Amino acid sequence: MPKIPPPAELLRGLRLAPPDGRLPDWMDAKPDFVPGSYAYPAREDTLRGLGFPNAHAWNPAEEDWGLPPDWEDIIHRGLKERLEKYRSLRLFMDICVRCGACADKCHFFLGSGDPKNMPVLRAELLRSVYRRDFTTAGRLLGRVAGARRLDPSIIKEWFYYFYQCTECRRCSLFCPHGIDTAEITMAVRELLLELGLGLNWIMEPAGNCQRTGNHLGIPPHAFKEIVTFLCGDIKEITGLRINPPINEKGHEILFITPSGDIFADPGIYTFMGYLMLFHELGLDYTLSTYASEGGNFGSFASNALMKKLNAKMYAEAERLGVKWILGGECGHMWRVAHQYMDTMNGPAPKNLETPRSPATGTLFKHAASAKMVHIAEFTADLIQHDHLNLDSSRNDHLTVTFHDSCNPARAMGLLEEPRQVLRRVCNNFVEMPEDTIRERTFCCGSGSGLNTDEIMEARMRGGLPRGHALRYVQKKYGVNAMTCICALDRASLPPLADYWAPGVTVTGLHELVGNALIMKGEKKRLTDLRQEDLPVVDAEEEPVKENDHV
Amino acid sequence: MSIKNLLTEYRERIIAEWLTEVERGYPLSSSGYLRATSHPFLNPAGLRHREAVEAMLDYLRNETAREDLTCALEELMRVRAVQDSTPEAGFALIYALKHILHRICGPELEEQAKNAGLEEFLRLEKTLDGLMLLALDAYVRCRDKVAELRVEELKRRHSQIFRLAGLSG
Ligand code: SF4
Ligand code: SF4
Repeated sequence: MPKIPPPAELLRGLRLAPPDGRLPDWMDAKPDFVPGSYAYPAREDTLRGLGFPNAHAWNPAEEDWGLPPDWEDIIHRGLKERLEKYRSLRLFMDICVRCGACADKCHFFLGSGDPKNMPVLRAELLRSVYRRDFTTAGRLLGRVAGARRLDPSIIKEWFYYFYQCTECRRCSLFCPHGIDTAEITMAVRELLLELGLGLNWIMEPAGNCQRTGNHLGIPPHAFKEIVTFLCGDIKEITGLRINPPINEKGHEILFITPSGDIFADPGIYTFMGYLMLFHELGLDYTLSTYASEGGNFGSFASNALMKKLNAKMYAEAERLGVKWILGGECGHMWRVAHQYMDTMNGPAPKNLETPRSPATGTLFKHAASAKMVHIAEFTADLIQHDHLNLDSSRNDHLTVTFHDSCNPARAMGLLEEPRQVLRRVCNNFVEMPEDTIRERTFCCGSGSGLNTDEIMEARMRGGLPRGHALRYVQKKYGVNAMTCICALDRASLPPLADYWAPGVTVTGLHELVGNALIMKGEKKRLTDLRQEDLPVVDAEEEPVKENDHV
Repeated sequence: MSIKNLLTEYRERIIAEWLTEVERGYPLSSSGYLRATSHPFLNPAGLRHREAVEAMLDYLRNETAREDLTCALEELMRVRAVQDSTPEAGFALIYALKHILHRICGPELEEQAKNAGLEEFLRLEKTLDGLMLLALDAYVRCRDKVAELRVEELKRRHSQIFRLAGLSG
């Protein structure tokens, strides 16, 4: 009979600890590239098409990653260049005092228990190399000073751990020195790309976007056809026919939203909500197939690619001669539009003006420079002016909680606006626990280009803290819907909810707005936007809620 | 001392040793990972481990209902199923509890068997084996769920493309 290992040995399994029980130094412990632990690499032709150097075919599970012969020089030069260009990066390399305040703030550490997912150690993966190559102490003292020499295993470690960071910035909130590990991750991902190492799930959508205008690579006629389908659904539900202008010149507003809202469930219901709202307001707007992608997967890869993909927004706004840009519910799209667009691709074209709501007359002064407004801000302003006719009881079948997506919350401070809207369009709104919302929100675990299905386990690990808080409000208050204002979240939260709190559905904010919106000339609504029966409004007793208490 | 009293007497020690053992299984022996804080939302993995081991001990002492035990084990296995790709690592948690019990309560268990026969001890062992099966069952269901999530995600992601191609309603 085979010898059955004692439980302690089984537990320790497995990956990193040696059989004699002695623990390796963190520098010596290396990740194991087993299927499910890494996302598929970017294809050679995709990288070449996007103009990245050293594109080649390789497989993370194999020993040889086919690095270019001068890979060490590339990294050294690349790091030097970035240290000079970004003062923040240099600062972040130098000023960490290893106080540990960030250690347990990362959802990937909380979900995996792997110390290299502590932000401080994640950054140390680069910092140790920086010390060796760019500081005197490191050069002279080596390991004693926390420095180490580059070798291919470090490149692999970078690939493993910097693609287990969602660039969510939760850690930076707790760092007394303001060190932003997300920026370190961005720099390392750029360095890896210089060696021809990237993720398929990031680079292919970016390539599609460059070619056709959106991540899925849907050409203009198909885009239009899908919008027509969705308008058919709206007709079915409300009796009203909407024909949104596409690529038309001479309108006041260009509306850009992530393509996930148009092609994917449950984003489409949010998209229908936008169109219904615009129709009701009589908004003078157009959609665009050239700028048919609000999202920007370039931002998960490199600054240059982010800039290139983002440039379409201003270019299209100029071509169509609009006055300002209204943006859909998205997260990273807004990190780019809010924090980088103005610097990267500004100043905005001359035809653009400071956005003013045609419905309420509000001048959005905060967007005076970028000329772009988030739809949650736009709709919150409508609510504040009591401009909409709403029947919030149409969302009575839902007990809703709100997930603050990392980018709108931490990069934009968009905390109150969605809540204002939510409180007005539904009657049952419950917050998740205080330490897990607003600026301190926990990431979905799939951001920054990690929402690909081959790493579902890793994503669920990263999603544990969010899922745990969701589970709590589900059990305690019967929450059965989680709303968010991020398209990536509308893709990544359904599996998270299904796994950690089965029975909770995921909705966009404007899906609920669309449900509640009383439109002029509409027929009596019998279903919500998902074409599911509305609770019987006239019934005597309270409608039963579909709660899932397990 | 009856087994029930033994488990009450050594409860905290058993829990502490079990958590230490489990932590050792994490990469670089992630010490403190499960015990850094008892905050209900800031260390969910730690909380779920603690709640599960407490529920198991309570169940062994006949002080908790079967549903509560199953629920606590499920919440724990949901974590383990995405942390360990090998079922034995998840499973070994319960196995470890058994060994720790033997280690800590060994002499008393022996004494008890001498005085009152093996019956109660055998019942304890049987219940522990039952716990393992419950855990395994929950673990396997979670793994199936992960596979299902991948398929469902693909469908959602392309819902309108399928519609365009006439592949769905
Ligand atoms: S940015 Fe987010 S994912 Fe990255 S290390 Fe910080 S907390 Fe973790
Ligand atoms: S909180 Fe800041 S200074 Fe402290 S260890 Fe983390 S990164 Fe370093």
